[in-house]
Amino acid sequence: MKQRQNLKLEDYKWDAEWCMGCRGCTWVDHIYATGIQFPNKCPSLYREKFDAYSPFGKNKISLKIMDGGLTFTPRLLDILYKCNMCGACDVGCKRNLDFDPGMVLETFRIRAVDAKAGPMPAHKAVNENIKKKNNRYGLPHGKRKAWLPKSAKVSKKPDMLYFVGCNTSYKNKEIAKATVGILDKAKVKYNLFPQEVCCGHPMYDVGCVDDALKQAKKNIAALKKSGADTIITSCAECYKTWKVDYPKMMDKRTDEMGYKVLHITQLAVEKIKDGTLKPKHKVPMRVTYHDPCNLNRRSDDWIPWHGTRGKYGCTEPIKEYRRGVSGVTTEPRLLLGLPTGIPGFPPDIPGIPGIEAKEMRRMDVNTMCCGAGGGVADAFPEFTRDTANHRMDEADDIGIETIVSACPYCIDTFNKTAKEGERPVRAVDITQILYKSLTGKGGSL
Amino acid sequence: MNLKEKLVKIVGTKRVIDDPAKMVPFIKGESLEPLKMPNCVVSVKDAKEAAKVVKLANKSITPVIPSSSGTHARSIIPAQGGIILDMSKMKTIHDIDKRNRKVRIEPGLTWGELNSKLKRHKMMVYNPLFPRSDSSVITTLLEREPRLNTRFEYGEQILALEMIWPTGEIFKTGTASFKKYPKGLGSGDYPYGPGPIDPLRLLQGAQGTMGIVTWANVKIEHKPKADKTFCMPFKKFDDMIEAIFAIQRKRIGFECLALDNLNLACILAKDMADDFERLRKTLPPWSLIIILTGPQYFPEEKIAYEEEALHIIRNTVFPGSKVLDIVPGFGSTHVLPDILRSPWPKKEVYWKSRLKGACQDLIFMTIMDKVPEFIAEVKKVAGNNGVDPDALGIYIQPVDFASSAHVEFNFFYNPEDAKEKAKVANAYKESIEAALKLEAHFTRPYGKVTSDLVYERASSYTGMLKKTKAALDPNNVMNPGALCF
Amino acid sequence: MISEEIYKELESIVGEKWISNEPEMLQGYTNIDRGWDSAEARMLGQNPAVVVLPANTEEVSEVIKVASRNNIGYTPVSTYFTPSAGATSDDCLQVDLKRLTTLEVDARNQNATVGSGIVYAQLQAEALKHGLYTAVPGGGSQVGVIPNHLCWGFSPLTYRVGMANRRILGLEWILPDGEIVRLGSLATGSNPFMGEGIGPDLRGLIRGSIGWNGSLGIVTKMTTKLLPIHNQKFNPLRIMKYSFLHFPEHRQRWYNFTCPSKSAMVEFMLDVAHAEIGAAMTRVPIAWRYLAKSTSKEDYWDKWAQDPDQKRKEVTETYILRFLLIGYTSEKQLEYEEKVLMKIAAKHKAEHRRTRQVDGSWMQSGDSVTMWWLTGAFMTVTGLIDALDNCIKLGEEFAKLKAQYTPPLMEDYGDEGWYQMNDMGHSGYLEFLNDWDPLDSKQNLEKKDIYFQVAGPQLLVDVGVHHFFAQIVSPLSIDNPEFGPYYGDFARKIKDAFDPNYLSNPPGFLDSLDEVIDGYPALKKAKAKICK
Repeated sequence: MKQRQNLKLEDYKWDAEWCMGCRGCTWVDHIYATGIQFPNKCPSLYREKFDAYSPFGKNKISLKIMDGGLTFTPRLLDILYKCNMCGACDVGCKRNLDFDPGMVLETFRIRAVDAKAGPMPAHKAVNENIKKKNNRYGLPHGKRKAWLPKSAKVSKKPDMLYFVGCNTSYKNKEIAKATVGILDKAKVKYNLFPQEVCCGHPMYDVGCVDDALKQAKKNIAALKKSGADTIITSCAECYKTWKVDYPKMMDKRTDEMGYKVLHITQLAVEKIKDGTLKPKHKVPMRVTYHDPCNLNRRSDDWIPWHGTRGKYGCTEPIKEYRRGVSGVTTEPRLLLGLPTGIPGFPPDIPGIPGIEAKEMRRMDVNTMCCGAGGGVADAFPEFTRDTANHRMDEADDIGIETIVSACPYCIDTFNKTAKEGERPVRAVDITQILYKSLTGKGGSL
Repeated sequence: MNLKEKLVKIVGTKRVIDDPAKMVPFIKGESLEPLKMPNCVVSVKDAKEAAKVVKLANKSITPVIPSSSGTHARSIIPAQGGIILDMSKMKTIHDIDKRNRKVRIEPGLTWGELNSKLKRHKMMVYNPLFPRSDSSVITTLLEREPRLNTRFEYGEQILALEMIWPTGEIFKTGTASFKKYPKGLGSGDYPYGPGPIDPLRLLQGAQGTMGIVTWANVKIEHKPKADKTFCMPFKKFDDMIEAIFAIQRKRIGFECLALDNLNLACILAKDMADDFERLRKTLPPWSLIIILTGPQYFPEEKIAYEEEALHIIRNTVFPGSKVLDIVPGFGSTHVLPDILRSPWPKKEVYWKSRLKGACQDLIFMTIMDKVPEFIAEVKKVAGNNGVDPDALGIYIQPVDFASSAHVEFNFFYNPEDAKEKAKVANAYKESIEAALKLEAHFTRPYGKVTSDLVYERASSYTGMLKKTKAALDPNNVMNPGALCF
Repeated sequence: MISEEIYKELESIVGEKWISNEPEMLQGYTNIDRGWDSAEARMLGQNPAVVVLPANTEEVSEVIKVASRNNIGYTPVSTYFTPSAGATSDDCLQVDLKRLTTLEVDARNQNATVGSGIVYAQLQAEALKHGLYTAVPGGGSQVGVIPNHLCWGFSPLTYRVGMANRRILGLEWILPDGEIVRLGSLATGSNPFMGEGIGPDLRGLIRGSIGWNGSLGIVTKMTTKLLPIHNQKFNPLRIMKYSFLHFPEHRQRWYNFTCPSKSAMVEFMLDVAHAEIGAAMTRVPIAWRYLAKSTSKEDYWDKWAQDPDQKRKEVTETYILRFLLIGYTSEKQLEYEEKVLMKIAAKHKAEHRRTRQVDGSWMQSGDSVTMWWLTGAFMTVTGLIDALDNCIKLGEEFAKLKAQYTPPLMEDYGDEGWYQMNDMGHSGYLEFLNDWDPLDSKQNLEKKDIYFQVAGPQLLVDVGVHHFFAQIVSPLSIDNPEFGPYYGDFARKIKDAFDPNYLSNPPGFLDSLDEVIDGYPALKKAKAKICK
């Protein structure tokens, strides 16, 4: 198995070198600009202001690392790790150009780890937890499935495995319960991993690619053993890790991995369309939808490229560009009854009854991270708090107090920050709303 | 060789005048300030001669005061004496470029002369309210007198030009900035620069303190093929504001202006005896005049959609007023386009002088919403100084879609009545002070009284102007004593 | 040198958080590796010594006073899109203005006041909420409103809304010594509604045909005129490369035509201008059509490089005009203007083509960066605003010159530039665009530099026209007796008066270009050979 191919910073030198500083990486797509408020989508530059914290600044710094002009000082690590790895820069750049700034950032972190400078101490602690206890929190591995209701209709010969993820297993168990409830109602043959271990996302995102690869191998082996060929996730990070990072680390195309990754909202929409799922109970809530970065712009299929650049930097063989446009953004919106395409084109499924949803200004590929991603929540909690507050301000701006998302880390971040700041905002996972609409159960949301 | 001899060497004997009696016509206009004599008047025939005079002035540290057509609304006051540089002989129209809609003209060319020439081509220069027939087109435009036309956002009418710097170098601006101009690919349609400074801006409103324009390319436009003019009567200016905004924001009409009944009567009265009084009484206190125009293609259809939009606005925004095709007491509006697009006829007494023989204008810029405050304040100040508030003429010109307003109070007076002149002088001065307190923006602070009061309040701007002037005119020869210099 | 003592002084103004001299932080502001491949950036680019991020006009003023007092050069930067915004000496102070993010629209009086950190996308979005608009320039909606007004500011929309410098109203300007001066109606009042000066207009110092690129102080706040448009909504649709604004079609529409010949195209444009209709009109270069249809750089080259003979024919014999009509007043205005447009089109035998009623590049999202997409390096060699006929002729001349420098310049099959109508038809506009491979051989890059810095500017001398980009890329016009004459002398008088120690963005473009040519043997040699 080829491993760690194209994961060297030098592999993306061209992308860093020929960035001309247009800042498309930091602004919301200008077509979607809404004025003085909320024009940015790069949390790092928005907060830190110095260009060094911007993707284009980091491009320039990476060049100096490559030529030996800079070393990994504490300030440089601050610059490198005060970044949510949210993918905003990557899609912003690729609106007009064919650079890979997202990969510059990923390989820059890998370089820091290889140089034994990274990751940050807090990340190392998380990694140790994963290595020792198979979950990022260091909680007993044996309790990973403690949330599973006895009533869950798991199959001994599953077509699909629900990969629960660390957060959902130990913290936001209601999401896990709602998810198996939806799977039951969808009448699919599913089960859980017998011995699920962390997907490795916390490791990959901070540059510990070797550690992450070990997690990948364990999980892929377990999947193969189960006989299933589909992974269901309710966590955006797990989704992206299985779909993008595993093939990336193994230098394969996503469609060569021998398995398919579905987010629970994708399965739900499919099953509503075929009539199996019927969200009939009203869930009277006024909400907005927050796109998790890892479910959205970071989750295009991985497509390895090995080749050379010729005249004008043209690639040979021709590189297939991942522009961040095939993430899961439509399905959650269909469930919430939000417009998804050309105005006037009716959605092809009825949304969850009773839900009144409204978009924030920044949405879809232009979304603003909740603040948790990229290991920031572990290493720089105050940065996470500021970004989450900023995003909640945006919900506030449209008069909404309930944020629906599809990632337990986003949910945690908003709820924790709201509680600390005594804000009336709360976050709810989309699985819980759907489950309630399907069953009338699930308590007060 | 004395100065006169040196000047004679440049232009010849006949074109240097130093006889005080003969010099008076070159400087005399309406003014509340006493006349002051220059040392001499030198008439030049081209830029080269003018440049030589300016260079000589620098050598001898003698003031030079440029004069374009020789007709002045206000007197030229050579505060420190010096040479009046008379360019009234420079009247050439170098080029009428209908294809690119511009003319290249010299500063001595008057509105009357240019209009009669352009008429044959069915073209016009967008004009302010009644330039004098014998006043210079270039000077009027440099003065930034507001156009009646509020609609074309591309604004400035002067394009590239030739000028003489205060140190005597002849210079061309914009795309005319090429030695062999007009032979080359630049035809002078772009006014700015060259480089990072813009001489045109510095020359505007400068009263000849920053240099001398010796020709300029000026935009010309097609005369509309059809017109339809409306008069909208209002009791107070305050009631007119929403109408002006609504009409301008919808881009309806070409010319648009607001006049009080005194000014409109001064303009339209057949005579200043019975007809003036009758007209003033019949006219509404305020009239908003708007001309809808039809261009080259389907002119009536354009007028039709604008008229429809105008009536919708009237019904929704100012239902209390009317959209008339007559001026009450005067008759049909259809004659107004011709009147308003022409300079004031040379053979007739200028409209501002018709009532009492002379007029002192108080002119400044503000935003539309503040105009009523200024009207109230200036009338109060006038009354306090023994000037009948109802005898003030008022003209409000919306500028650039009513994003600002040119405000003009006309203090009419009898130049032979020293008492009245003194009252008007006091009222004028106090009105400036009052207007400044209300944040009037004086873009044309002409005359010592005005410039002293205005520049005093703008210390950093004034300091910067002086620094600029010192850099470009190190000997301070260009019209010293004018403005803040 | 910026000593520790001076650093502390600066820190006391902006606060500890907003100043740095750490090498990593400075590398984020490097002007060395900027991806622009201009000779100027290559030769003069540096990292600054210290960077500060002041919060408001007063802090900027205080910072500049410290710099001025201590003889320290400083370089302002807002959105950092051009190399001139970067440091050109390694002991200079970078003043990053991105924290100045105020934007207030005065809808009643049709203007907006912006701080240095505001970009066009923000301004246009706010303006449109009030039924007002501005022209997002060719530089793109990611460029700063203030620097673009000060330096250039052109778009097809300037046909109706005028050049950016005409829209400048009141402003706050920090002079090179740190003094704050307020222009226009702010000179004596608090409302910035008007730009004209008290008497002479000092806006004439801050911007001519181009601006000072930061070498005559810093403008921290500017009010810009907005123009009325209909109050209909533009709907944003789709994402990424395919995102666009959908026009309210009953009030705003594109019209594309194929003209039978170049002369028919020119007469068509002029006739439309004389008819006083339209909101924009531009010729669409053929390369742009390929660009719009490509999914990647490789896809573009796959299409563009095929069948050169056919491409040459297509490029030199296809004349596509694109008109924008807006019903500012009402739907009926659009109907009227469409009728006029069609009549003129018929007169010139122009064929009406189908086009989508969407926009991705002019109303709100100017995407100039796409110009770098094709090859990795891009620059405009010249531009002209003058009679349309002159623009066309200059384009023809540059196409001939460009042929001599292709390669290394990108093969564009004889394209004669991008031209359009400006100023309601009182002038036309030409911009001559060039792409090349930034990783080409040294010899080829030298040849490319000679084209930009020497041969192109000399062509302007030969054909007898002065225009804007020449003076940014080459000193050949600044101190040329043909232009002005010697307009650099007069600019220097102003520079000497206000910045005698040349501290504002040193060495300032008046002189930096000399340094580039004099320090670059290939350019120096070419200058001796090509310039008379």
